Amino acid sequence: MRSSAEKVAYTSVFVCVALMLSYLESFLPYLPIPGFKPGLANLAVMISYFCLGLTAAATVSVCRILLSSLLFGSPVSLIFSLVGGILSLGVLALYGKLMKRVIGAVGLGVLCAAIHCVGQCIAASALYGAPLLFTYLPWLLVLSVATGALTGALTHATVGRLKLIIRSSR
Amino acid sequence: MEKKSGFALFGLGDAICIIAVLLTAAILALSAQIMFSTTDSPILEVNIDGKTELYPLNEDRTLIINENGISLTVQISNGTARIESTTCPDGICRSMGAISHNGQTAICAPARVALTVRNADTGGEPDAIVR
Repeated sequence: MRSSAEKVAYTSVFVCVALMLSYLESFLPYLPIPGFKPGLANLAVMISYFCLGLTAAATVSVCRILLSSLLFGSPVSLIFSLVGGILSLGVLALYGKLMKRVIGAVGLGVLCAAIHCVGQCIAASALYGAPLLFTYLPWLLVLSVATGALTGALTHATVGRLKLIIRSSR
Repeated sequence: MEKKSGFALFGLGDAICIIAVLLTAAILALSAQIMFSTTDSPILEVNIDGKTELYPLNEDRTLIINENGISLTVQISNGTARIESTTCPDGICRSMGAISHNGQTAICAPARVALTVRNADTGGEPDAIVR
């Protein structure tokens, strides 16, 4: 990045992409498990992490959650998403520090998706006192392997090309 | 043209990640099987914004819950409970279907209402029992 203005501009582009993906997702039916979403918005977070760094990814994630809850969600969905999103950012931070040589895009996508589900289930359990961690989370985890692998693979396919564009626009 | 993204797509570490997540899911599901074995007299725990009401699941009845500006109709019949209708625009809770086994849950997040099936002896301290 040449200047911080450039970084702000690219970050806001990714916030828009994440918001668009959230919006698209809000049309999907809740299948096969109620409350489950493929987490397409996480795609934008992961891509911004690889193109712009952790700070940008955190900005994209938090802005996306605040805006999409405001536009298409409720205060409760805000709490669920925030807990899941912050835990996912934790995974990204750990990945940059420890796991970069060991884990590829697919593994990172799966870990982010899984920890997002764990966070949401913890939030829901805390709010409702229901044993969701045992009855609901296993199914979410199995699905998150599929969706996480998909977002990971898409990230891998996109980042190389995007970096070229960002570099050539200087 | 250079297309390097600077990180791997899939490797041994990724396979381990996937196996670890699936293993966690299996362990959680198994412990749920052990903890929440079925019971002869299950009860429906209705948690409305932090307050708990208990209803026997083997007596048919219709509950109408008005909470947070949302009206929910809960139908208890033949030992199962389901959210029959809701005025909430999402309608996620309706798609949660019928619950009948211990530990199963249906939640309407916007109304802050949670339905949980429990064993009669593990329901905890209720605020009120409705018979």
